[in-house]
Amino acid sequence: MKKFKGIAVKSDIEGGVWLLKCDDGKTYQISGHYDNLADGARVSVIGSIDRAIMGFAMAGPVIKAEKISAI
Amino acid sequence: MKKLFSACFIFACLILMSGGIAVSSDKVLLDDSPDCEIVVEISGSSIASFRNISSSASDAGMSVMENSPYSADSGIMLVKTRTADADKTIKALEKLPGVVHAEKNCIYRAFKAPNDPKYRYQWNLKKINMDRAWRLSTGKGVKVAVIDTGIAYGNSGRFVRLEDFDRASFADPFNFITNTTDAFDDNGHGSHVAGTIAQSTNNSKGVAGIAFNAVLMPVKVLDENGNGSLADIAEGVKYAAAHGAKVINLSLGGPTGSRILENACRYARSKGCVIVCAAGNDGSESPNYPAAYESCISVSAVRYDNKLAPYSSRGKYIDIAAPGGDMGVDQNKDGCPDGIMQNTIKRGHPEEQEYALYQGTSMAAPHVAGTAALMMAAGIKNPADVEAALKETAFKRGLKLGEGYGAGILDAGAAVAKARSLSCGASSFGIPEGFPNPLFPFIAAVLSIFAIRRFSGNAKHIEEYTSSLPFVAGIAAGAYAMSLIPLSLMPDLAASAVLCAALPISLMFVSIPFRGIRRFSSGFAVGFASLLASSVFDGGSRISAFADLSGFNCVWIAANASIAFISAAFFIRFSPEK
Repeated sequence: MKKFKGIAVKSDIEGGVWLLKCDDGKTYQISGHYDNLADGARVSVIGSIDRAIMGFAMAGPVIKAEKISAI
Repeated sequence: MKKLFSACFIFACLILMSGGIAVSSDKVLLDDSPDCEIVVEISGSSIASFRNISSSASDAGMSVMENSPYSADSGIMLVKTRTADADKTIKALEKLPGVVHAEKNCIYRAFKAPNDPKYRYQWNLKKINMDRAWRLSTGKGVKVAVIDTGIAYGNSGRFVRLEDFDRASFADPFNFITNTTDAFDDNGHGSHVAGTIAQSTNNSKGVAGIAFNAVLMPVKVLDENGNGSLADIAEGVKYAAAHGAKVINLSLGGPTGSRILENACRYARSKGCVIVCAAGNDGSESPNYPAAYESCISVSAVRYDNKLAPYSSRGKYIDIAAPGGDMGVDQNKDGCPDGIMQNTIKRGHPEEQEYALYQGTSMAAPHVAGTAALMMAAGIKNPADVEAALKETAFKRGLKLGEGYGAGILDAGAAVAKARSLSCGASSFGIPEGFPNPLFPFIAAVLSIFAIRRFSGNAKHIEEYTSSLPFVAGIAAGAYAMSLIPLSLMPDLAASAVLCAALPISLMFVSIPFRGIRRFSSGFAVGFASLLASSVFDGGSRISAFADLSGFNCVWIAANASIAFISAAFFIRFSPEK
């Protein structure tokens, strides 16, 4: 497990996907639906990067998130 | 009589042989929408005069839009109105300073368009020249696998079949997430992608799809969140190839390559599949997979103004660009963001459907996949030929190639025309599209002369007759002059009248008293018959009167070819020797 910090962005690419724009400049896709997540919120995501999966977002590596919390 | 039968037999064989490999396509009807467009020509083709008139028209309450990104240069603009108000609007427009002429766009025969009411929002299809492509192919029977989140192709439990798949065909679904034979969509992405490829078209409902007579193969490898494992995706590619898919669309990917996925793509390509992949949405030059594999066609996304969409990947591995949309702009001023509109399910709600605007390279890829299906239905079979023709015909003018566009922007109309000419061998003669390929009429004419000589008992004077200059000139005129008439712009009835044996037969009768003209006119009849008989080889692109050369049109052409030939054979046999 790893902790990622950055801005959660609801991108309207591919019908809508959640991205995490990290402080280190990298962009990740956060897998899943998050109704309570606010677009533009600064968040901390605990999870792992799964390089064995692909998806339609194609906007960066996918983080399988265990926990997302606003900071 | 026996000789006549043998002569007719040879000719009938020729017709049947050519009919057997005819490529057919459904006819696209004229737009009968209650709304219509007025096309306006303006004086002074400059952006300034375009803007002036555009603003005057807007002040007068008219809805003005560009016909293409080049409208300001070409001095052509469009005004939307109700069909009932068209005449009134034309008069009002012609009173505006700078307007040269205004007329209805919706009844112009050359702009055959499907009657799907939301087609007007599909700027993307206009951009890739679909009106031209549909005249040549509709993708009939070509299996296209959509390896994605599934497709909303059936009613089962909470899943619904989309209303705009009412005429679509589906085959061999498989779900690699659940390992079952139902591949319903629980996300919406796969149905949107499949819609661009083959949503029902000209069904007075919703939107259009590119290869609407193709057969869709739903292969579900992505879960409801849009993610899937490498193993499932690789297996999905192999499954599609093994089950007869000729085109595979992969609107998915990731930044990490996989030898197993690469091998699966190579296997599918070796089985004759065209594999089309979305290039990626990270806006960078780093490669995405499977798009970057050699065996795949990688597609980047462009906007209405032909610029690369800001999200689109732009690496050197891009093969071609296609419309992917940009929801942040409305450059064509149709009142909607410039996304790609298709009928799909609501995200995460497979029981509800909508017409949704999406953007992404996932939306660009199915434009190329659909076009590949059209090309394969038009007779081109080898994936390498499809890829080469797509790249060769891509729109290149004004683009900085190599900066993410690959070979240029997809031109489906030119690509399908190229496929047609490749499949009937015209390209080997270097003959431009629209001009007759001499090979097939030549073969038909030689066989016809042979048949006529046999029918006449190989008499010396018939041999001299059929090798005389006026006769040969007549064949050339009959075979080529007719094919240069722009029959596709005529109504079917008028085109049928031109392609009737009455014309060469009348010429022969009129020419009876004149020896040289007599020979010319009988040669004309043989050339005319040869052209008609051989025309079915390329589904009508030589005599481009009919979009559909199956059924009645095929019988009409075959019958008139036979009548013209038999009349010429009798005419020549019973002509005076001197």
